[in-house]
Amino acid sequence: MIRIRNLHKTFNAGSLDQLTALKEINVDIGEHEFVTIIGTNGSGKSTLLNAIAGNIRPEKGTIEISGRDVTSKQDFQRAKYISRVFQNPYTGTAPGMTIAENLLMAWFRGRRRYPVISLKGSLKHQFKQQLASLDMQLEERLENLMGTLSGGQRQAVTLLMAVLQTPKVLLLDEHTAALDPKTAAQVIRLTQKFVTANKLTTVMVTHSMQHALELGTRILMMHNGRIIEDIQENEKQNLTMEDLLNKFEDIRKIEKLTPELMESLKNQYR
Amino acid sequence: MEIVSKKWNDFDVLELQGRIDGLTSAGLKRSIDQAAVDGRRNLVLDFTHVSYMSSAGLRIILQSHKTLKQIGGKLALVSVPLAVMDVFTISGMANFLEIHDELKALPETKQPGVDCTEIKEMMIDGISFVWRAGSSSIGKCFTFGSEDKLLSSSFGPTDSIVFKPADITYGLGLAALGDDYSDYKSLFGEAVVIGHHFFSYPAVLKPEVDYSYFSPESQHSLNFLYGLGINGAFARILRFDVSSHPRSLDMLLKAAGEVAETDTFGVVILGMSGGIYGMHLKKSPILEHQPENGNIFDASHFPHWMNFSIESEDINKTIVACGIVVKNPVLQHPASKWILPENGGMHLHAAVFENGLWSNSIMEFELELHRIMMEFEPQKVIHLLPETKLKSGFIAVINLEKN
Amino acid sequence: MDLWIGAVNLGILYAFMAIGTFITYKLYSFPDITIDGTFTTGAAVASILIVDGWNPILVLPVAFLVGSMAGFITGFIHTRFKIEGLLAGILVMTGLYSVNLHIMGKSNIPLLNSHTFVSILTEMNPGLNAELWHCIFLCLVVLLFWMLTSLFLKTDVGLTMRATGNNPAMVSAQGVSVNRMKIFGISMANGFVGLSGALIAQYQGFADIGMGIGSIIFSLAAVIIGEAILRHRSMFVKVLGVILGSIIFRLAVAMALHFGMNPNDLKLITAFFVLVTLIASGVLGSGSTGWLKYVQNQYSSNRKAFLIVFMLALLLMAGYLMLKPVILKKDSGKMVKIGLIMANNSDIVTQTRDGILSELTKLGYVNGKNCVILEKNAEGDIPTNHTIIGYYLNKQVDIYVPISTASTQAALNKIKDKPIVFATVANPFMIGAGTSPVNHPPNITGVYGPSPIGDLLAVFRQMYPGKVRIGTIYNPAYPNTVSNLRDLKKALENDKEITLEEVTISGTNDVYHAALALSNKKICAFVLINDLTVFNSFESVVRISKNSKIPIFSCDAERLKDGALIVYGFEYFVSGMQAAHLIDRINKGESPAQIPFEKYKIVTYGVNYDVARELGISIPLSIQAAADASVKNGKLTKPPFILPKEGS
Repeated sequence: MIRIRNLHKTFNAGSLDQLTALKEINVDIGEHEFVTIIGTNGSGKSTLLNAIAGNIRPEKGTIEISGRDVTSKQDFQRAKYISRVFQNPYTGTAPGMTIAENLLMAWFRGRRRYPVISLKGSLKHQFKQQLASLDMQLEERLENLMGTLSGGQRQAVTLLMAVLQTPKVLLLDEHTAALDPKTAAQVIRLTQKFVTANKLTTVMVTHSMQHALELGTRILMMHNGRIIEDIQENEKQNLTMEDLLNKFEDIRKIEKLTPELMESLKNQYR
Repeated sequence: MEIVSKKWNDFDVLELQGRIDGLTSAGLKRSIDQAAVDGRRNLVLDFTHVSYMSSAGLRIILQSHKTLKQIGGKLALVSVPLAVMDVFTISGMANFLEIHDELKALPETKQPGVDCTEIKEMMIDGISFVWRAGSSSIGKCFTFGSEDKLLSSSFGPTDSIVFKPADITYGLGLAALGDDYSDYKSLFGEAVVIGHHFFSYPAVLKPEVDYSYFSPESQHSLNFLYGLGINGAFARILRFDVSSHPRSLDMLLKAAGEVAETDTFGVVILGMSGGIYGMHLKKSPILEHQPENGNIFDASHFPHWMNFSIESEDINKTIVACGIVVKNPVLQHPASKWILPENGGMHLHAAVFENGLWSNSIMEFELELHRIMMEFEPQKVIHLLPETKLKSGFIAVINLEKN
Repeated sequence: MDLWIGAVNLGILYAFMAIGTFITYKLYSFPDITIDGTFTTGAAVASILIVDGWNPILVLPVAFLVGSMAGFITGFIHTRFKIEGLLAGILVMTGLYSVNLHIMGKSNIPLLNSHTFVSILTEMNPGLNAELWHCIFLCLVVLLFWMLTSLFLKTDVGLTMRATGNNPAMVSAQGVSVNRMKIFGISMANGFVGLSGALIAQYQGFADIGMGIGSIIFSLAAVIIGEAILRHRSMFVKVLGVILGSIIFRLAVAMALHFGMNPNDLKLITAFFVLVTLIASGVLGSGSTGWLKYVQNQYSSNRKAFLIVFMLALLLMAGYLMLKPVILKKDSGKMVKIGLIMANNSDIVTQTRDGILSELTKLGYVNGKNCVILEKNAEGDIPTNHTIIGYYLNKQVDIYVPISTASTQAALNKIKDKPIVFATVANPFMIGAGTSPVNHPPNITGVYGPSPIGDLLAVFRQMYPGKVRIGTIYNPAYPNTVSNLRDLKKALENDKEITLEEVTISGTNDVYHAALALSNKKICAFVLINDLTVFNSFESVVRISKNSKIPIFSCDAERLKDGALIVYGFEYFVSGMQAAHLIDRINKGESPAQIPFEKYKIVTYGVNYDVARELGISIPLSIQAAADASVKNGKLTKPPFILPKEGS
């Protein structure tokens, strides 16, 4: 479904604060896979997601979605295949428009829009039913402004918008990070529900190892722009929080391992 | 409830104020446990200002009484108000609890069962030690195998040296338990032998300590790639308590060197950790795991082959370590030459156990050591680094013959 | 009443522009300055096509299209090259100025005798008051426009546009090209502005290069007023608010005029009002501190109050200014009312005005006693001429006296049944006032005359015979200048030995460089045609003249004391005096239809001997003898102006 080859991205190339965000990323994500990406801050996990979404242009490498090379396509061109939920609940919806109008935007994701009025009776009814599935009593607030909703409600609606037209790939960018724990759990539940119901190919970036363990079929661990662990379904089943923590601890240790420290450890071990 | 701790003769007194009930009893338990962990094991609870005690408090006192007793301490109560006394009386606990009218009424006790004349005290580098002499016999140290093949990870079936538990009293090395090389070859890891009890930590992804308790007829095979054994008795046993300011192993072993009679000596340490620095292999260094280029300590391989501490880990763990120490690295024991680090004066392996209480009585050291071996759950075995800090515990010294 | 209905009509026509701003500013938060240029572009395209014989209704979609092309460029620059919106707008607006000039070919296109939507309407008028009839029709049009625009904004495309402005990241994630959507919206907005320009041009009867200046502020004001009076989420209400805002704004302008306020102060007040509203609504700067925050809170909770404060400010200012005139104008019903309309504050215009006033006094007219003389100056703003006339209409002025071409043009268009006496117009035929001095619209007469460039050349020839080179500087944006240049070239056709070097300029800042460039081309003299821009920066030419010892020959008598060597030109003061006599004749019962246009009667032929000495030039005796004015040792000597007897 998603095929990434030799992806490379450097920010501020040539300047003092040059930062290599992605280094030779090679990964294949199959249909119906639900991949979670975890990693330290600045590990490149969000950059990878943005590269898949088309918000960031890699300087090397290719990205294919469903066999089509989309590397040179811009984000809105990829929206035909990809839908996204952002970390910031305010990014995914237009606050000055009604819930129904927002949903309409998503209803036309990747499709041509014509100067006709589509937002009427039957479609509104359909939106109402879909809102009911969020279980947030939003179905009666179709005509309310998006800006009047709480962050969690907005994120839930964003999620609904993302799956309104079944996408080939669903990208979730730390989409519960800005929510309080209770709302986050609610949104995670909805995520699980939608992904399962639609058998979506999903890539979720998260900072919560708990979510990485609970959700999805595969974990990619990133560090310093590389995928350092690719934990497949069978291994993931037995994975514990401690295992993940250990892996991160290892990363941290390796970072602090200076040649001098290594030399001294080497001498002391014998 | 407020708890103020103070000293009365040899006793550590906890002055309690207010109610002891379901809400406050947990705090009391924490205070008592902390005192025990800190080595204050002759505890007196001063009830003068206790206005009320519920059954919850009763339970805590009962538990603490048992725990302290088990680790060679004791719990006494003084100045118990009548209303509270009733609770002890009705519950029947008054029968076995040591209850006195006031602090002055406490019996003047020294460490139970200790013959005062055998105990000596000394100050080294500002640390006060208590020590007693033990056996005067000189122990034997022997090394086996070679670490030559470690760097290249090229150990093979013929490199495995088999011991029976009875062969080694104390020791360390790279070892694994098992009968069939093909079964245990990938399980080699840091190992330690303490009083014939064997603990090894397989160098695998998610290791669990493997161990074999000693009994004279035990026929388990201890398979070493290389290592060091010490057979002998404790010549000196030191006790230290620096809970408030944990000291590094380096410093503590220097003190041990002061009482050791030989230049190279073996040590067995039982201690409460104040931060451990350790290392252990992540992969068994056998031919099958040989890296394609370079050796396992190359920069590119090192992190994948070695687990190491970059800062202190595991505070308040019970650790039991053993190994050899030389007073003067230049004049080190010829037999131990390769087993000691370059310019280093020690090589110790340690078994780390989960936190638990043990007696701080210097007379009961051997018993407690045995009990810990048998009862405590081992978490890992590591190559101990000299930066490791200890809060309190014992260092037992075995004088080693020169050869 | 006409004043108010006229204001409503203007408001409706400007509403198209306001909708454009509504789209860019409210939907996209993109203050699009392009419209200052686009408005003129729409007017220019419409005018040029109408003059070419196009159907006046058919030109509207063309104006829309051309306007949206300008918007497209702004949008493209903004999105493709990531240039800030404001800057992109300024770039395109600046560029459009040249484009507009090219489209028009000159700076002003009169539509007086052309077929416009106004003339079509007039033909269909069942007999109502003209402005009222226009108003009824325009109301119907704007009603339709309101419905269509609101409905469009509710369609899938309209929603997407709104969402793009509201949250670009979101629509991008939904597969919409934000850039394309922005370009689309900005194009559409500018299309409406172009359409508005085309309508206004037809309504006021001409297109002018400067008519778009300030559009952005005025339409912002309209949008803000609209938002203040009608607050509702519905698109219908929002669009209606903008239309009403535009009308209210124009009514406010009319009101300011009605109460005798200088319409130019309105610009300051409007700019201030827009600024205050922007600050209060928190559009500018988010790091607002205590008191600002307080104002913003107050504003958001009570927008209407802000509008009322604005209106009150207008009224207060107006009230202060009206106090005196009101007292004076008591019992002015029977007296003749003379309304002076001045296009700007240039020498030429003020001289003319002074001439009129002084001669009227000589003829026995005393303001407030036996006549009422009203004066208004448009300060260079073309639409204001229009508004002044509306104001005079409302005041029931008897004789309209426009000074200069722009004012005359506005008067020609609006005043059909009252006499007009224009003064200081180079070529009245060019702006549609008849075909010859006797063959002209029945209610119009006046004083005109092209500058006597031929005579000036003759004087020049006396001093510089043979094969010579002369230089001239002009700003092609002024219709008078272009006409003067044509005369100069015509005069030169008879004298093949003179080579003309011309340099064009676009502002006073260019004059110095232009003169410098000419001095390097080995010219023997600057022969300057009448050009307001050049005269406003005349010192620049004088400096070059002194440095490079090149004398100045000018058609403007006023320039003699400023440092020209020789002047041969009309006295605009006299033009005013002549106009005063025409006013007097009409007041005494003559019909303007019977009065032929008069040419300027007095020419000043002057020599500046100080300059001659400085440049080392000796003035031939023949010239010395013929010249009637001179500057010697800094002293200007001029014969008094005595008008020749009537009919001579």
